[in-house]
Amino acid sequence: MDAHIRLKSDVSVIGSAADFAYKWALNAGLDTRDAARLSLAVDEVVTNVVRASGEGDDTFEMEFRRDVSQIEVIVREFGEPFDPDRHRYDSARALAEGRFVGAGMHLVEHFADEFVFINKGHAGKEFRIIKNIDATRIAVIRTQFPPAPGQAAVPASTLPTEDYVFAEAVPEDAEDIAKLIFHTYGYTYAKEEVYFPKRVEEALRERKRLAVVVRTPRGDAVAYFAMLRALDSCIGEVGEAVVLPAHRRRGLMTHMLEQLIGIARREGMRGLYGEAVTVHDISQRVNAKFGFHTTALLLADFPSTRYRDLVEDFPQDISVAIDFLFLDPPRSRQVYLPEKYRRILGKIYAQHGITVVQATDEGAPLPEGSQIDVRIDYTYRSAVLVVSEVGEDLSAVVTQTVSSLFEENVPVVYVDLPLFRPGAEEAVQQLEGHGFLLAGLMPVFHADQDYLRLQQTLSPIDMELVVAWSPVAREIKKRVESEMRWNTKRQKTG
Amino acid sequence: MEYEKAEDRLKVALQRDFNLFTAERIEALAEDCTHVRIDMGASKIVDSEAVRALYRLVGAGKAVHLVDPPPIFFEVLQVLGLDDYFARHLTVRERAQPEQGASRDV
Repeated sequence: MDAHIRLKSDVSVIGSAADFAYKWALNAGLDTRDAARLSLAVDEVVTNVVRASGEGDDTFEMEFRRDVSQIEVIVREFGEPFDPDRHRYDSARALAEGRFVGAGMHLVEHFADEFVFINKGHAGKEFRIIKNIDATRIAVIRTQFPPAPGQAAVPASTLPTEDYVFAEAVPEDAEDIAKLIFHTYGYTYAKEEVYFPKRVEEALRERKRLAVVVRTPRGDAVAYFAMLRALDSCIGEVGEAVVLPAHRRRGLMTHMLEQLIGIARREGMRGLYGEAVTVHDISQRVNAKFGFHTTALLLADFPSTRYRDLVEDFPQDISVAIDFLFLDPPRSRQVYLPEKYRRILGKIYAQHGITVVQATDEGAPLPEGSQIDVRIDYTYRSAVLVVSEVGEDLSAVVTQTVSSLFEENVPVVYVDLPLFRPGAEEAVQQLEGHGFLLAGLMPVFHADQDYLRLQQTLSPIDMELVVAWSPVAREIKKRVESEMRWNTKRQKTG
Repeated sequence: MEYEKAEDRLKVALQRDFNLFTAERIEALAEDCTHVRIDMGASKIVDSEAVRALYRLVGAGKAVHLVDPPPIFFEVLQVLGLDDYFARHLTVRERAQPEQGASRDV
Protein backbone atom coordinates (compact mmCIF):
# COMPACT_ATOMS: atom_id res chain seq x y z
CA MET A 1 0.00 0.00 0.00
CA ASP A 2 1.38 3.38 -0.98
CA ALA A 3 1.20 6.37 1.34
CA HIS A 4 0.83 10.05 0.75
CA ILE A 5 1.37 12.67 3.44
CA ARG A 6 1.49 16.43 3.57
CA LEU A 7 3.63 18.12 6.18
CA LYS A 8 4.27 21.66 7.30
CA SER A 9 7.67 22.98 6.22
CA ASP A 10 8.99 23.22 9.73
CA VAL A 11 12.10 21.93 11.42
CA SER A 12 9.97 19.98 13.91
CA VAL A 13 8.68 17.56 11.23
CA ILE A 14 12.09 16.34 10.08
CA GLY A 15 12.27 13.61 12.71
CA SER A 16 8.72 12.41 12.07
CA ALA A 17 9.31 12.19 8.32
CA ALA A 18 12.53 10.22 8.84
CA ASP A 19 10.83 7.94 11.39
CA PHE A 20 7.97 7.19 9.02
CA ALA A 21 10.45 6.40 6.24
CA TYR A 22 12.31 4.04 8.57
CA LYS A 23 9.20 2.10 9.57
CA TRP A 24 7.91 2.07 6.03
CA ALA A 25 11.20 0.65 4.82
CA LEU A 26 11.22 -2.09 7.46
CA ASN A 27 7.69 -3.10 6.54
CA ALA A 28 8.65 -3.18 2.87
CA GLY A 29 11.43 -5.64 3.56
CA LEU A 30 14.60 -3.60 4.11
CA ASP A 31 16.85 -4.64 6.99
CA THR A 32 17.54 -2.18 9.83
CA ARG A 33 20.81 -0.99 8.25
CA ASP A 34 19.26 -0.13 4.89
CA ALA A 35 16.15 1.26 6.56
CA ALA A 36 18.41 3.66 8.49
CA ARG A 37 20.17 4.60 5.25
CA LEU A 38 16.84 5.41 3.59
CA SER A 39 15.71 7.27 6.68
CA LEU A 40 18.89 9.38 6.61
CA ALA A 41 18.42 10.20 2.94
CA VAL A 42 14.82 11.28 3.64
CA ASP A 43 16.00 13.34 6.64
CA GLU A 44 18.51 15.19 4.46
CA VAL A 45 16.02 15.94 1.69
CA VAL A 46 13.35 17.10 4.14
CA THR A 47 15.92 19.27 5.93
CA ASN A 48 16.79 20.85 2.61
CA VAL A 49 13.10 21.48 1.85
CA VAL A 50 12.44 22.97 5.29
CA ARG A 51 15.47 25.23 5.03
CA ALA A 52 14.40 26.44 1.57
CA SER A 53 10.81 27.17 2.52
CA GLY A 54 9.60 30.66 3.24
CA GLU A 55 7.98 31.93 6.39
CA GLY A 56 4.38 31.04 7.05
CA ASP A 57 2.28 28.05 6.17
CA ASP A 58 4.37 26.38 3.49
CA THR A 59 3.83 22.67 3.17
CA PHE A 60 5.43 19.85 1.23
CA GLU A 61 4.26 16.41 0.17
CA MET A 62 5.78 13.01 0.62
CA GLU A 63 4.75 9.97 -1.33
CA PHE A 64 5.92 6.48 -0.45
CA ARG A 65 5.70 3.84 -3.16
CA ARG A 66 6.88 0.28 -3.18
CA ASP A 67 6.86 -2.80 -5.32
CA VAL A 68 8.47 -6.18 -4.83
CA SER A 69 11.93 -4.96 -5.72
CA GLN A 70 12.24 -1.36 -4.61
CA ILE A 71 11.04 1.50 -2.46
CA GLU A 72 10.61 5.00 -3.83
CA VAL A 73 10.15 8.06 -1.65
CA ILE A 74 9.13 11.23 -3.47
CA VAL A 75 9.36 14.60 -1.77
CA ARG A 76 7.50 17.39 -3.61
CA GLU A 77 7.80 21.02 -2.73
CA PHE A 78 7.38 24.55 -4.01
CA GLY A 79 10.18 26.31 -2.15
CA GLU A 80 12.80 28.61 -3.61
CA PRO A 81 14.60 27.51 -6.80
CA PHE A 82 17.30 24.96 -6.16
CA ASP A 83 19.92 23.23 -8.27
CA PRO A 84 21.80 20.45 -6.44
CA ASP A 85 24.59 20.55 -9.03
CA ARG A 86 25.49 24.08 -8.00
CA HIS A 87 25.92 23.03 -4.37
CA ARG A 88 28.55 20.32 -4.48
CA TYR A 89 30.05 19.27 -1.19
CA ASP A 90 33.77 19.84 -0.68
CA SER A 91 35.29 18.24 2.43
CA ALA A 92 38.40 20.46 2.29
CA ARG A 93 36.19 23.56 2.34
CA ALA A 94 34.11 22.08 5.16
CA LEU A 95 37.22 21.55 7.27
CA ALA A 96 38.91 24.83 6.42
CA GLU A 97 35.90 27.14 6.51
CA GLY A 98 33.22 25.17 8.32
CA ARG A 99 31.04 25.45 5.20
CA PHE A 100 29.04 22.26 4.78
CA VAL A 101 27.17 23.37 1.67
CA GLY A 102 25.98 20.30 -0.29
CA ALA A 103 26.82 17.85 2.51
CA GLY A 104 23.21 16.69 2.80
CA MET A 105 22.79 15.97 -0.91
CA HIS A 106 26.20 14.30 -0.91
CA LEU A 107 24.95 11.89 1.77
CA VAL A 108 21.69 11.29 -0.09
CA GLU A 109 23.61 10.29 -3.22
CA HIS A 110 25.67 7.89 -1.15
CA PHE A 111 22.90 6.30 0.90
CA ALA A 112 20.25 6.00 -1.82
CA ASP A 113 20.53 3.42 -4.58
CA GLU A 114 19.16 6.07 -6.93
CA PHE A 115 18.59 9.74 -6.38
CA VAL A 116 16.81 11.88 -8.95
CA PHE A 117 16.03 15.57 -8.75
CA ILE A 118 13.30 16.83 -11.07
CA ASN A 119 12.74 20.53 -11.55
CA LYS A 120 9.21 21.05 -12.89
CA GLY A 121 9.55 24.80 -13.11
CA HIS A 122 6.77 26.68 -11.42
CA ALA A 123 5.00 23.36 -10.80
CA GLY A 124 7.60 22.69 -8.14
CA LYS A 125 10.43 20.28 -7.57
CA GLU A 126 10.68 16.60 -6.79
CA PHE A 127 13.38 14.71 -4.96
CA ARG A 128 13.19 10.95 -5.54
CA ILE A 129 15.01 8.50 -3.32
CA ILE A 130 15.11 4.84 -4.28
CA LYS A 131 16.29 1.86 -2.26
CA ASN A 132 16.39 -1.61 -3.72
CA ILE A 133 14.98 -4.42 -1.63
CA ASP A 134 17.62 -7.07 -1.35
CA ALA A 135 16.76 -10.69 -1.96
CA THR A 136 18.59 -13.91 -2.60
CA ARG A 137 19.31 -14.45 -6.26
CA ILE A 138 18.58 -17.76 -7.82
CA ALA A 139 22.28 -18.58 -8.40
CA VAL A 140 22.85 -19.55 -4.79
CA ILE A 141 19.99 -22.02 -4.63
CA ARG A 142 20.03 -23.67 -8.02
CA THR A 143 19.66 -27.44 -7.99
CA GLN A 144 18.00 -30.26 -9.91
CA PHE A 145 17.54 -28.43 -13.19
CA PRO A 146 19.00 -29.04 -16.63
CA PRO A 147 22.14 -27.14 -17.68
CA ALA A 148 22.07 -23.41 -18.23
CA PRO A 149 22.17 -22.07 -21.80
CA GLY A 150 25.42 -22.76 -23.57
CA GLN A 151 26.05 -25.94 -21.66
CA ALA A 152 25.39 -29.48 -22.88
CA ALA A 153 22.27 -29.91 -25.01
CA VAL A 154 19.29 -31.70 -23.49
CA PRO A 155 17.45 -34.33 -25.55
CA ALA A 156 13.90 -33.40 -26.50
CA SER A 157 11.20 -34.76 -24.24
CA THR A 158 8.98 -37.49 -25.71
CA LEU A 159 6.09 -36.67 -23.36
CA PRO A 160 2.77 -36.24 -25.25
CA THR A 161 1.36 -32.71 -24.92
CA GLU A 162 -1.79 -33.93 -23.21
CA ASP A 163 0.24 -35.43 -20.36
CA TYR A 164 1.58 -32.05 -19.20
CA VAL A 165 -0.16 -30.58 -16.18
CA PHE A 166 -1.17 -26.89 -16.48
CA ALA A 167 -2.00 -25.01 -13.30
CA GLU A 168 -2.32 -21.45 -12.13
CA ALA A 169 0.89 -20.51 -10.27
CA VAL A 170 0.83 -20.30 -6.48
CA PRO A 171 3.45 -18.66 -4.20
CA GLU A 172 5.08 -22.05 -3.58
CA ASP A 173 6.01 -22.17 -7.30
CA ALA A 174 8.28 -19.12 -6.96
CA GLU A 175 11.60 -20.91 -6.69
CA ASP A 176 10.83 -23.23 -9.61
CA ILE A 177 9.84 -20.18 -11.68
CA ALA A 178 13.12 -18.38 -10.93
CA LYS A 179 15.05 -21.52 -11.83
CA LEU A 180 13.10 -21.93 -15.07
CA ILE A 181 14.06 -18.41 -16.11
CA PHE A 182 17.70 -19.03 -15.21
CA HIS A 183 17.90 -22.32 -17.08
CA THR A 184 16.32 -20.79 -20.15
CA TYR A 185 17.97 -17.39 -20.31
CA GLY A 186 20.94 -17.58 -17.93
CA TYR A 187 21.26 -14.09 -16.49
CA THR A 188 20.22 -12.33 -19.68
CA TYR A 189 16.49 -12.01 -18.99
CA ALA A 190 15.51 -8.34 -19.06
CA LYS A 191 13.23 -8.34 -15.98
CA GLU A 192 15.70 -8.85 -13.21
CA GLU A 193 13.21 -9.42 -10.40
CA VAL A 194 12.44 -12.91 -11.74
CA TYR A 195 15.83 -14.07 -10.44
CA PHE A 196 14.70 -13.39 -6.89
CA PRO A 197 12.34 -16.15 -5.67
CA LYS A 198 11.21 -14.07 -2.69
CA ARG A 199 10.05 -11.28 -4.97
CA VAL A 200 8.28 -13.70 -7.30
CA GLU A 201 6.62 -15.35 -4.29
CA GLU A 202 5.43 -12.03 -2.93
CA ALA A 203 4.09 -10.91 -6.30
CA LEU A 204 2.15 -14.17 -6.66
CA ARG A 205 0.82 -13.91 -3.12
CA GLU A 206 -0.32 -10.33 -3.61
CA ARG A 207 -1.72 -11.34 -7.01
CA LYS A 208 0.31 -8.64 -8.72
CA ARG A 209 1.59 -11.41 -10.94
CA LEU A 210 -0.84 -14.02 -12.32
CA ALA A 211 0.78 -16.99 -13.98
CA VAL A 212 0.51 -20.49 -15.35
CA VAL A 213 3.09 -23.18 -14.61
CA VAL A 214 3.41 -26.37 -16.61
CA ARG A 215 4.74 -29.53 -15.00
CA THR A 216 5.47 -33.03 -16.14
CA PRO A 217 3.45 -35.82 -14.50
CA ARG A 218 6.46 -36.26 -12.16
CA GLY A 219 6.01 -32.69 -10.99
CA ASP A 220 9.02 -31.07 -12.69
CA ALA A 221 8.32 -27.49 -13.75
CA VAL A 222 9.10 -27.07 -17.44
CA ALA A 223 7.29 -23.91 -18.55
CA TYR A 224 5.89 -20.68 -17.15
CA PHE A 225 3.91 -17.76 -18.51
CA ALA A 226 2.90 -14.71 -16.47
CA MET A 227 1.04 -11.47 -16.70
CA LEU A 228 1.80 -8.54 -14.47
CA ARG A 229 -1.11 -6.48 -13.26
CA ALA A 230 -0.89 -2.78 -14.00
CA LEU A 231 -0.69 -0.73 -10.82
CA ASP A 232 -3.29 1.83 -11.74
CA SER A 233 -5.62 0.19 -14.22
CA CYS A 234 -7.52 -3.01 -14.76
CA ILE A 235 -5.16 -4.47 -17.36
CA GLY A 236 -2.17 -6.77 -17.32
CA GLU A 237 1.11 -7.06 -19.17
CA VAL A 238 1.77 -10.45 -20.66
CA GLY A 239 5.40 -10.35 -19.89
CA GLU A 240 7.29 -13.42 -18.80
CA ALA A 241 7.33 -16.63 -20.78
CA VAL A 242 9.72 -19.57 -20.70
CA VAL A 243 9.69 -23.15 -21.91
CA LEU A 244 12.67 -25.37 -21.20
CA PRO A 245 14.37 -26.30 -24.48
CA ALA A 246 13.56 -30.02 -24.18
CA HIS A 247 9.84 -29.24 -24.00
CA ARG A 248 9.47 -26.80 -26.87
CA ARG A 249 7.50 -27.23 -30.12
CA ARG A 250 4.55 -28.94 -28.50
CA GLY A 251 2.23 -26.02 -28.05
CA LEU A 252 2.85 -25.33 -24.36
CA MET A 253 3.15 -21.59 -24.95
CA THR A 254 -0.16 -21.47 -26.79
CA HIS A 255 -1.96 -23.41 -24.06
CA MET A 256 -0.46 -21.22 -21.35
CA LEU A 257 -1.51 -17.99 -23.09
CA GLU A 258 -5.04 -19.34 -23.53
CA GLN A 259 -5.15 -20.09 -19.82
CA LEU A 260 -3.78 -16.67 -18.95
CA ILE A 261 -6.48 -14.99 -21.02
CA GLY A 262 -9.03 -17.12 -19.16
CA ILE A 263 -7.56 -16.05 -15.80
CA ALA A 264 -7.64 -12.39 -16.87
CA ARG A 265 -11.32 -12.68 -17.81
CA ARG A 266 -12.11 -14.40 -14.53
CA GLU A 267 -10.35 -11.58 -12.67
CA GLY A 268 -12.52 -9.04 -14.46
CA MET A 269 -9.61 -7.46 -16.29
CA ARG A 270 -10.39 -5.27 -19.28
CA GLY A 271 -7.39 -6.02 -21.41
CA LEU A 272 -3.94 -7.49 -21.80
CA TYR A 273 -0.93 -6.10 -23.55
CA GLY A 274 2.50 -7.25 -24.53
CA GLU A 275 5.65 -5.33 -25.37
CA ALA A 276 6.84 -6.99 -28.57
CA VAL A 277 10.44 -6.24 -29.46
CA THR A 278 10.80 -4.80 -32.95
CA VAL A 279 14.18 -6.29 -33.80
CA HIS A 280 12.14 -8.90 -35.64
CA ASP A 281 8.43 -9.49 -36.29
CA ILE A 282 8.08 -12.84 -34.52
CA SER A 283 6.58 -11.57 -31.28
CA GLN A 284 4.16 -9.25 -33.09
CA ARG A 285 2.98 -12.13 -35.31
CA VAL A 286 2.50 -14.48 -32.35
CA ASN A 287 0.54 -11.79 -30.49
CA ALA A 288 -1.66 -11.20 -33.53
CA LYS A 289 -2.64 -14.88 -33.57
CA PHE A 290 -4.26 -14.34 -30.20
CA GLY A 291 -6.12 -11.22 -31.22
CA PHE A 292 -3.62 -8.62 -30.01
CA HIS A 293 -3.21 -5.52 -32.20
CA THR A 294 -0.39 -3.00 -32.23
CA THR A 295 -1.48 0.32 -30.77
CA ALA A 296 1.86 2.11 -30.26
CA LEU A 297 5.56 2.03 -31.07
CA LEU A 298 7.86 2.95 -28.18
CA LEU A 299 11.30 4.01 -29.36
CA ALA A 300 14.42 2.99 -27.43
CA ASP A 301 12.23 1.51 -24.71
CA PHE A 302 15.11 -0.37 -23.13
CA PRO A 303 18.88 -0.54 -23.62
CA SER A 304 20.29 -3.06 -26.11
CA THR A 305 22.60 -4.32 -23.36
CA ARG A 306 19.47 -5.77 -21.73
CA TYR A 307 18.89 -7.82 -24.84
CA ARG A 308 22.26 -9.47 -25.21
CA ASP A 309 22.50 -13.13 -26.26
CA LEU A 310 19.15 -12.96 -28.03
CA VAL A 311 20.29 -10.62 -30.75
CA GLU A 312 24.03 -10.18 -30.93
CA ASP A 313 25.32 -6.62 -30.84
CA PHE A 314 22.10 -4.94 -31.83
CA PRO A 315 23.29 -1.46 -32.77
CA GLN A 316 20.63 0.61 -31.00
CA ASP A 317 18.35 0.57 -28.00
CA ILE A 318 15.37 -1.72 -28.35
CA SER A 319 12.07 -0.29 -29.53
CA VAL A 320 8.89 -2.18 -28.79
CA ALA A 321 5.38 -2.43 -30.17
CA ILE A 322 2.54 -2.24 -27.68
CA ASP A 323 0.21 -5.09 -28.68
CA PHE A 324 -3.15 -4.85 -26.95
CA LEU A 325 -6.02 -7.29 -26.54
CA PHE A 326 -9.40 -5.99 -25.38
CA LEU A 327 -11.01 -8.82 -23.41
CA ASP A 328 -14.46 -7.40 -23.97
CA PRO A 329 -14.08 -4.63 -26.55
CA PRO A 330 -16.71 -1.89 -26.49
CA ARG A 331 -18.50 -1.29 -29.77
CA SER A 332 -17.73 2.37 -29.65
CA ARG A 333 -15.60 4.76 -27.69
CA GLN A 334 -16.37 8.41 -27.01
CA VAL A 335 -13.03 10.15 -26.87
CA TYR A 336 -11.46 13.58 -27.42
CA LEU A 337 -9.06 12.82 -30.25
CA PRO A 338 -6.78 15.70 -31.24
CA GLU A 339 -7.13 16.73 -34.86
CA LYS A 340 -3.49 15.99 -35.64
CA TYR A 341 -3.80 12.29 -34.76
CA ARG A 342 -7.51 11.71 -35.32
CA ARG A 343 -7.10 9.60 -38.44
CA ILE A 344 -4.42 7.25 -37.19
CA LEU A 345 -6.00 6.83 -33.76
CA GLY A 346 -9.26 5.96 -35.47
CA LYS A 347 -7.47 3.21 -37.39
CA ILE A 348 -5.88 1.88 -34.21
CA TYR A 349 -9.30 1.65 -32.54
CA ALA A 350 -10.82 0.11 -35.67
CA GLN A 351 -8.41 -2.87 -35.45
CA HIS A 352 -10.24 -3.83 -32.26
CA GLY A 353 -13.66 -3.38 -33.88
CA ILE A 354 -14.22 -0.14 -31.95
CA THR A 355 -15.90 2.81 -33.59
CA VAL A 356 -14.72 6.18 -32.42
CA VAL A 357 -17.28 8.78 -31.41
CA GLN A 358 -15.53 12.14 -31.39
CA ALA A 359 -16.48 13.93 -28.20
CA THR A 360 -16.91 17.66 -28.48
CA ASP A 361 -15.17 20.04 -26.21
CA GLU A 362 -17.61 22.62 -24.81
CA GLY A 363 -14.87 25.19 -25.08
CA ALA A 364 -14.41 25.45 -21.36
CA PRO A 365 -11.12 27.17 -20.48
CA LEU A 366 -8.27 24.98 -19.28
CA PRO A 367 -7.39 25.10 -15.60
CA GLU A 368 -4.26 27.06 -14.77
CA GLY A 369 -2.26 24.10 -13.52
CA SER A 370 -1.84 20.64 -15.02
CA GLN A 371 -1.97 17.44 -13.00
CA ILE A 372 1.04 15.30 -13.89
CA ASP A 373 2.42 12.20 -12.22
CA VAL A 374 6.02 11.33 -13.13
CA ARG A 375 6.78 7.60 -13.07
CA ILE A 376 10.38 6.56 -13.53
CA ASP A 377 11.62 3.12 -14.46
CA TYR A 378 15.03 3.18 -12.79
CA THR A 379 16.10 -0.11 -14.37
CA TYR A 380 15.52 0.87 -17.98
CA ARG A 381 16.06 4.60 -17.41
CA SER A 382 12.77 5.73 -18.89
CA ALA A 383 9.91 7.80 -17.52
CA VAL A 384 6.22 8.26 -18.17
CA LEU A 385 4.53 11.59 -17.46
CA VAL A 386 0.91 10.66 -16.85
CA VAL A 387 -1.20 13.75 -17.41
CA SER A 388 -4.52 13.41 -15.63
CA GLU A 389 -5.51 17.01 -16.33
CA VAL A 390 -4.27 19.35 -19.04
CA GLY A 391 -3.72 22.89 -17.84
CA GLU A 392 -2.48 26.14 -19.32
CA ASP A 393 0.99 25.37 -18.04
CA LEU A 394 1.31 21.92 -19.64
CA SER A 395 4.08 22.61 -22.14
CA ALA A 396 6.11 24.62 -19.62
CA VAL A 397 5.92 21.90 -16.97
CA VAL A 398 6.43 19.02 -19.39
CA THR A 399 9.42 20.54 -21.18
CA GLN A 400 11.05 21.54 -17.89
CA THR A 401 10.47 18.06 -16.45
CA VAL A 402 11.79 16.34 -19.57
CA SER A 403 14.88 18.51 -19.53
CA SER A 404 15.41 17.66 -15.86
CA LEU A 405 14.99 13.93 -16.54
CA PHE A 406 17.47 14.05 -19.42
CA GLU A 407 19.98 15.71 -17.10
CA GLU A 408 19.39 12.91 -14.61
CA ASN A 409 20.32 10.31 -17.21
CA VAL A 410 16.75 9.27 -17.95
CA PRO A 411 16.96 9.53 -21.75
CA VAL A 412 13.54 8.18 -22.74
CA VAL A 413 10.40 10.07 -21.75
CA TYR A 414 6.80 9.35 -22.65
CA VAL A 415 3.89 11.72 -22.12
CA ASP A 416 0.44 10.14 -21.72
CA LEU A 417 -2.43 12.51 -22.51
CA PRO A 418 -5.99 11.67 -21.46
CA LEU A 419 -8.45 11.07 -24.27
CA PHE A 420 -11.48 10.66 -22.05
CA ARG A 421 -11.70 14.31 -21.08
CA PRO A 422 -11.16 17.58 -22.93
CA GLY A 423 -7.64 18.90 -23.25
CA ALA A 424 -5.79 16.53 -25.60
CA GLU A 425 -6.23 18.96 -28.53
CA GLU A 426 -4.72 21.84 -26.54
CA ALA A 427 -2.01 19.57 -25.15
CA VAL A 428 -0.88 18.46 -28.60
CA GLN A 429 -0.86 22.07 -29.77
CA GLN A 430 1.12 23.17 -26.72
CA LEU A 431 3.71 20.42 -27.18
CA GLU A 432 4.08 21.04 -30.93
CA GLY A 433 7.61 22.12 -31.70
CA HIS A 434 9.10 20.73 -28.49
CA GLY A 435 10.54 17.61 -30.09
CA PHE A 436 7.84 15.08 -29.27
CA LEU A 437 6.87 12.26 -31.60
CA LEU A 438 3.76 10.15 -31.76
CA ALA A 439 4.00 6.82 -29.92
CA GLY A 440 0.37 5.77 -30.30
CA LEU A 441 -2.64 4.76 -28.28
CA MET A 442 -2.32 3.31 -24.78
CA PRO A 443 -5.74 1.73 -24.25
CA VAL A 444 -7.11 1.49 -20.70
CA PHE A 445 -3.61 2.29 -19.46
CA HIS A 446 -4.33 4.52 -16.48
CA ALA A 447 -7.41 4.68 -14.28
CA ASP A 448 -9.19 2.37 -16.77
CA GLN A 449 -9.07 5.06 -19.46
CA ASP A 450 -7.43 5.53 -22.86
CA TYR A 451 -4.40 7.76 -23.34
CA LEU A 452 -2.53 9.19 -26.30
CA ARG A 453 1.20 8.63 -25.84
CA LEU A 454 3.86 10.99 -27.19
CA GLN A 455 7.55 10.27 -26.82
CA GLN A 456 10.96 11.86 -26.83
CA THR A 457 14.31 10.13 -26.63
CA LEU A 458 17.96 11.13 -26.66
CA SER A 459 18.94 7.74 -28.11
CA PRO A 460 19.70 7.81 -31.82
CA ILE A 461 17.22 5.60 -33.65
CA ASP A 462 17.55 4.20 -37.14
CA MET A 463 13.94 3.48 -38.08
CA GLU A 464 15.12 1.03 -40.73
CA LEU A 465 15.93 -1.30 -37.83
CA VAL A 466 12.48 -1.00 -36.27
CA VAL A 467 10.36 -3.83 -37.63
CA ALA A 468 6.62 -3.16 -37.67
CA TRP A 469 4.53 -6.10 -38.77
CA SER A 470 0.85 -5.27 -39.09
CA PRO A 471 -0.48 -2.64 -41.53
CA VAL A 472 -1.43 -0.31 -38.66
CA ALA A 473 1.95 -0.82 -36.97
CA ARG A 474 3.63 0.11 -40.25
CA GLU A 475 1.44 3.19 -40.49
CA ILE A 476 2.39 4.27 -36.97
CA LYS A 477 6.03 3.75 -37.90
CA LYS A 478 5.61 5.84 -41.05
CA ARG A 479 4.05 8.62 -39.02
CA VAL A 480 6.88 8.52 -36.48
CA GLU A 481 9.47 8.68 -39.27
CA SER A 482 7.72 11.64 -40.80
CA GLU A 483 7.64 13.48 -37.45
CA MET A 484 11.32 12.68 -36.91
CA ARG A 485 12.19 14.25 -40.26
CA TRP A 486 10.05 17.27 -39.45
CA ASN A 487 11.73 17.72 -36.06
CA THR A 488 15.19 17.44 -37.63
CA LYS A 489 14.28 20.03 -40.26
CA ARG A 490 12.88 22.32 -37.58
CA GLN A 491 16.07 22.00 -35.49
CA LYS A 492 18.24 22.80 -38.52
CA THR A 493 16.24 25.86 -39.42
CA GLY A 494 16.22 26.96 -35.79
CA MET B 1 15.76 15.31 24.73
CA GLU B 2 16.88 15.11 28.34
CA TYR B 3 19.76 17.18 29.60
CA GLU B 4 21.67 18.13 32.72
CA LYS B 5 23.72 21.24 33.04
CA ALA B 6 26.19 21.63 35.88
CA GLU B 7 28.58 24.57 35.82
CA ASP B 8 30.39 24.31 32.49
CA ARG B 9 29.33 20.73 31.74
CA LEU B 10 26.39 19.71 29.61
CA LYS B 11 25.06 16.16 29.52
CA VAL B 12 22.46 15.38 26.86
CA ALA B 13 20.54 12.16 26.32
CA LEU B 14 18.85 12.19 22.91
CA GLN B 15 15.44 10.53 22.75
CA ARG B 16 15.36 10.64 18.96
CA ASP B 17 17.51 11.15 15.89
CA PHE B 18 20.34 13.66 15.91
CA ASN B 19 19.15 16.11 13.24
CA LEU B 20 18.70 19.84 12.63
CA PHE B 21 16.04 20.13 15.33
CA THR B 22 18.14 18.51 18.07
CA ALA B 23 21.41 20.02 16.80
CA GLU B 24 20.04 23.56 17.16
CA ARG B 25 18.91 22.86 20.72
CA ILE B 26 22.22 21.28 21.75
CA GLU B 27 24.23 24.15 20.29
CA ALA B 28 22.09 26.65 22.17
CA LEU B 29 22.43 24.75 25.45
CA ALA B 30 26.18 24.27 25.04
CA GLU B 31 26.97 27.89 24.39
CA ASP B 32 28.50 28.56 27.82
CA CYS B 33 29.89 25.06 28.42
CA THR B 34 33.36 23.65 27.95
CA HIS B 35 32.40 19.96 28.13
CA VAL B 36 29.56 18.36 26.18
CA ARG B 37 28.53 14.74 26.53
CA ILE B 38 25.87 13.46 24.11
CA ASP B 39 24.25 10.07 24.61
CA MET B 40 23.04 8.95 21.18
CA GLY B 41 21.82 5.52 22.22
CA ALA B 42 18.24 6.27 21.07
CA SER B 43 19.25 7.72 17.70
CA LYS B 44 18.91 5.68 14.53
CA ILE B 45 20.55 8.31 12.38
CA VAL B 46 22.91 11.25 12.65
CA ASP B 47 22.63 13.65 9.74
CA SER B 48 24.84 16.31 8.18
CA GLU B 49 23.32 19.05 10.34
CA ALA B 50 24.35 17.11 13.44
CA VAL B 51 27.86 16.67 12.05
CA ARG B 52 28.01 20.38 11.30
CA ALA B 53 26.94 21.12 14.90
CA LEU B 54 29.61 18.76 16.28
CA TYR B 55 32.18 20.50 14.08
CA ARG B 56 31.17 23.88 15.48
CA LEU B 57 31.24 22.64 19.08
CA VAL B 58 34.71 21.20 18.59
CA GLY B 59 35.81 24.30 16.69
CA ALA B 60 34.68 26.44 19.63
CA GLY B 61 37.15 24.56 21.81
CA LYS B 62 34.67 22.42 23.69
CA ALA B 63 35.53 18.87 24.73
CA VAL B 64 32.90 16.72 23.02
CA HIS B 65 32.21 13.18 24.13
CA LEU B 66 29.74 10.91 22.33
CA VAL B 67 28.14 7.86 23.86
CA ASP B 68 26.77 4.99 21.82
CA PRO B 69 26.40 6.59 18.39
CA PRO B 70 24.53 4.50 15.79
CA PRO B 71 26.67 2.64 13.23
CA ILE B 72 25.60 5.00 10.44
CA PHE B 73 27.38 7.88 12.22
CA PHE B 74 30.81 6.48 11.33
CA GLU B 75 29.76 5.94 7.74
CA VAL B 76 28.47 9.51 7.53
CA LEU B 77 31.83 10.84 8.72
CA GLN B 78 33.65 8.68 6.22
CA VAL B 79 31.45 9.75 3.30
CA LEU B 80 31.94 13.40 4.24
CA GLY B 81 35.70 12.91 4.53
CA LEU B 82 35.67 14.03 8.17
CA ASP B 83 36.56 10.74 9.87
CA ASP B 84 40.20 11.63 10.52
CA TYR B 85 39.31 15.06 11.83
CA PHE B 86 36.73 13.79 14.30
CA ALA B 87 38.96 10.90 15.35
CA ARG B 88 41.36 13.55 16.60
CA HIS B 89 38.87 15.99 18.04
CA LEU B 90 36.20 14.11 19.90
CA THR B 91 35.93 10.98 21.98
CA VAL B 92 33.44 8.18 21.53
CA ARG B 93 32.28 5.43 23.80
CA GLU B 94 30.27 2.70 22.21
CA ARG B 95 27.84 0.71 24.29
CA ALA B 96 29.62 -1.59 26.74
CA GLN B 97 33.01 -0.59 25.39
CA PRO B 98 35.84 1.44 26.86
CA GLU B 99 36.33 5.01 25.77
CA GLN B 100 38.24 5.54 22.52
CA GLY B 101 38.72 8.02 19.65
CA ALA B 102 36.05 8.47 17.01
CA SER B 103 38.17 6.40 14.70
CA ARG B 104 36.54 3.04 15.55
CA ASP B 105 36.54 1.70 12.02
CA VAL B 106 36.39 4.98 10.20
